[in-house]
Amino acid sequence: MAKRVGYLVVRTGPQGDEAIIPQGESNHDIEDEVQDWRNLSKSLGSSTKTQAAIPKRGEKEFEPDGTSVQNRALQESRESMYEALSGLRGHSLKQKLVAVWMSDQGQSIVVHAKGNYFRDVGIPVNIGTKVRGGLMLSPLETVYLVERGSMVCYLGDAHYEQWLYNDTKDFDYDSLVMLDLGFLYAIVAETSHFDVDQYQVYSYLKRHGYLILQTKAKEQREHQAKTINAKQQAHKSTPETHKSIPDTRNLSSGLMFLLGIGRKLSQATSYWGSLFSTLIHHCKKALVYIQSKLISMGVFAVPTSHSLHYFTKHYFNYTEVFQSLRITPSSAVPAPSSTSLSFQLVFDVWKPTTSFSKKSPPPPDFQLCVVNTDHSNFPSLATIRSLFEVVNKEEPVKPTEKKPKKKSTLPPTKKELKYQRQLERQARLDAKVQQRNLYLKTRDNKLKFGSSGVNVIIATVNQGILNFVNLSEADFELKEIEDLDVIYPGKDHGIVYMDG
Amino acid sequence: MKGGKTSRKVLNELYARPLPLVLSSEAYNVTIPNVFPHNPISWIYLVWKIVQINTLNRVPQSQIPALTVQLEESIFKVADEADFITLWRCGFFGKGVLSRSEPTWKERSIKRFNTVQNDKQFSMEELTKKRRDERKKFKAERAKLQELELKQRKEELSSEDAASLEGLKILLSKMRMNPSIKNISTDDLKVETEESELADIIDLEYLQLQAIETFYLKFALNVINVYESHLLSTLQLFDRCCRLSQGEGPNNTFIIEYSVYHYFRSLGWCVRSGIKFGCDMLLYKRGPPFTHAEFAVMIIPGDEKLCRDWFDMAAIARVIGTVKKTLVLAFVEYPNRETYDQILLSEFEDEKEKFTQLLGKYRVTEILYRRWAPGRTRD
Repeated sequence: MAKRVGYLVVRTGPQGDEAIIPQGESNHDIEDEVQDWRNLSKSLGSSTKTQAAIPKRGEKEFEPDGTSVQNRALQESRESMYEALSGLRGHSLKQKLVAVWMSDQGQSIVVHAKGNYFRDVGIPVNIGTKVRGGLMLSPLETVYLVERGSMVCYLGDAHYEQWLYNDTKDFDYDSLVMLDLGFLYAIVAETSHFDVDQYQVYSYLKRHGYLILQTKAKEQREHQAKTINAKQQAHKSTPETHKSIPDTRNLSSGLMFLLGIGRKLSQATSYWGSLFSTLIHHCKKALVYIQSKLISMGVFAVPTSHSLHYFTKHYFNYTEVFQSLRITPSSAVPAPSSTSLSFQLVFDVWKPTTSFSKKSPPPPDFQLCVVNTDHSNFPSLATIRSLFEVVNKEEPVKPTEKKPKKKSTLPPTKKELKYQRQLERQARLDAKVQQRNLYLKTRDNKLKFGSSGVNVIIATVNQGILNFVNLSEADFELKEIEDLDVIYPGKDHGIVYMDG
Repeated sequence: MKGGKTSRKVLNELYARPLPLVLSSEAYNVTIPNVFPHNPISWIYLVWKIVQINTLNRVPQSQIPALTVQLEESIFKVADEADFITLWRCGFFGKGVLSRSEPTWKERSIKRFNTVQNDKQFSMEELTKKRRDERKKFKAERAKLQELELKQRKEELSSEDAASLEGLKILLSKMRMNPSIKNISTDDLKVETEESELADIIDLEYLQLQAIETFYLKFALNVINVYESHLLSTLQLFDRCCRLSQGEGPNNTFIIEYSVYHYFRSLGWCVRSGIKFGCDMLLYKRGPPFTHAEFAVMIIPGDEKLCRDWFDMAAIARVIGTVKKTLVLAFVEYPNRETYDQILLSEFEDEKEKFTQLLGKYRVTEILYRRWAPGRTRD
C-alpha cells in the first residue's frame, strides 16, 4: 500500500493515514535529542517492515527525471566540451623556447629567454660576448617548464659547450639529443638533488599563479636570523625595565618601592646609609606587622596566592579578578634543547603581482617547508620555534591602493551590498561604540591569525597528494600589541571578558 | 508568549557573573569613583571611598557558604539545585547528567507533565526538537513541490496542480524567510496526562563537574568544598584528580590539562570540554548561550617523544574548520620530576601557595593551526 512521494513513504497504518519517515533518513542525531518514547512505540506499533529509501536532497543537475529535458541539457553540455577540446592548438616557431641540460652543473641553460615565464625563474648569466641575458634554470624550473609544454630541452654535450664559450655564429640544436619528459625526469633525478615532493609542491603553486623562489642559502638566512634575534633582544630588554615597576595596586608593595628608592639614595653616603638601612629594616618589620594585623581585622587583603584571598579583598570588576587569577610562569621551565632543524624552509612564495623583481624580491607572503608524511611526524614545539626564528619577520608589502576600478556596469553583488550597509550602520553609531567595535574586531583578528604575524606553511606530501598547513605564532595574553594599545591604552588586552 | 531566541538583555541579566564570585560593587552597590589627575579632591574622594568600603563592609565572598561537591565513584557531583544553578549561571561549569549541558531536566519535566502553568522560555533541547520538526516539514513540502515541477516538465499538469504549485512556492519561500520557531507555544510540547497522574516532580538530576573544573573551583576560587567521605583538602583533591587520569609525575594528564584550563580561564575565557569536536577544550567568549565557541584547543605536552601524526592533526583540523572554529595547539612545557616532587613535598603556609608555585613551573605556548588553500589566498 506504500505510495512514494519524494522521499516520504506514506503508509496507511492501523491508526489511519500517517507519514512515516523511513529509517536512516536525515542526519537525525539521537544523542542530541530529548528522548521521546512515543516515537518508539509508534514505530513499533505500525508495521515493522521499513523500506530503505535513499534520501533525496535538493535538485541535481542532469538528473534523469523521465523527461527529455535533462537529457537534452546534458547532451548540449557534452557537445560544447568536445568542441572546445577539438580546437586547433599549436606553438609558434618564433616563440620556441630552448634549454640545454648541463649535466656537470646540474642545471640547464637558456640562451635566448623569451616569453613571460621568467619573472621568478632562472638566474641571469652572461657568457663571453655572445650570451647576454641568458638564464640558468634549476632542475625544478626546467622540469616545470618542459612539463608545462612551454620549453624544449636538449641534452648538452662537449660540442655544445665548446660552442657556448667559443664564438661561432649559429648552433644546430638538431645535432643534440632532445629530451622527452620521461628522459628529462630520469636525467634530472640522476644528476642533481631533485626532490619529487618539492617539485610537486612547486608546480602546484606555480600553476595557481604564485611567484616562487627557492629560499636563500642557509648561511645567509642564519645571518639574517641572527640580526633579527639581536633586534628582538633589543626590543625585549625594554619591557624588562617596565616590569621592575611594582604593582601599585598593592599598597604595601608600593611603600616597599618607596623604601627601595630610599635605599638607593642611601648608598650615596655611607653614614646616612647605615642609618637608613637600620631605619628601613625597622620600617619593614613594622609594615609586615601592621599588614598582618590589618588582614586579621579584615581591613587588608591577603595576597592572591592565599586560599582566603577572595574572602579578604574587595573587587569591583571581574577584569581585576581575572588578573589576580593569572599565574605567570616562572622561568625555571627547562629551556627547549636546541634540536637540529629537521624542517627546512625551501620556498618563498608571493601572491601574483605585476611588480616583482627576482633580483630584489620583497618580503615573501608565505614561506614553505616540504615534508613527506612517510618520513616525518608533526613537528615538536622546539622545531616549530626554530622555524619561527628563521622565517622572515618583515611584513609582506601590502598591495598599494589600486586605482579605482572602472565602474562596472553590473549591479553590485549581494556581498558588496551587505558590506556597504554594514559601513553605513557603523557610521551612524556613537563614536564610542564605533571605537569599541574597532577594538573588538582588531582583537579578534589578533587572536585568530596570531598576534605577531609570524607564520610558516608546511606542505605535507603523501604519495603525490598535497596538504598545506599554516602554523602561526599566537599569544592569547596579547601582550604589548600596538594596534590595540592605540585604541584602548593601558587595557589588559588578553582578558577577553569585558566588564560592562 | 516568549520563546525562541532569548534577547541579549535577558541573557546578560541571567549570566551577569562570569565567575561564581560576588563583587563588592554588586553586593553594596558602590563604584570606585573616577580619578582626575588634576583634581586633588577626586583623589581624596577615592581614598575616602576605599577606606569606607574596607572598614565598613565585609568582603561579600566571605559571607557566602561554600558550594558542596561530592566525589562518588570518581564522579564529581553537585546535587543541590541552588548550587548547580549557581555553577552553571556563573561561568558555565559542569553538565546536567540528564540534559544536554545546562541542567534543565526538572524544568522540562514540569512542562511536559503540565503541572505548573508557566510561560517561561524554552530549553535548548526543546528548541532543537522544534527546529528539526520544522525542517522535516519543510523538506516534505519541498518534495511535493519538486514532484509537481516534474509533472510540469512532462506537461501533465492539471489546472488544479498548477494552483497548488503556485501555493507551494509561496509557502516554501515564506518558510525559508521566517521560520515559525520564533513563535511556538508551550502547547506543542505538552504530554497529554490525566489529572490523577500529576504529582510533584523530584529532581533526579545532578551536575557533573570535570576534574579540572572541580580543581579550579577549589584551588583557584575556593568556592566549593569537596567531600569524599570527609572534606578533602586541596592537596587531597589534587591527588584524587591525578589518580583519575593517566600518567604520574609532572606530565600526568590532569596537571597538564589543568595548566591549560587555568591559563585560559584566567584570561576570561569560558572553557568547556571539546570532546564533541575531537579536541581537548572549547573556548567561548562568554558562554554557550551567547555565541558559538570560537577556538578549539588541542593540548600537546611540550617535549612529547612520540610526535603527533600528520593524519590525526589533519582530521581534527578539518572538523574544527568546518564548524568555523580556529584550532589552537597548546604546547605545555613542564618541570622535571625533581622540581615537581620538591614543590609538592615542601611545606607552605597555605596550600594555594604550593600549587601556585607548582603551576608557575608550567608554561603554555599557543600555536594556531589552519589549513592553507592556495586557491583562495591568491588575491
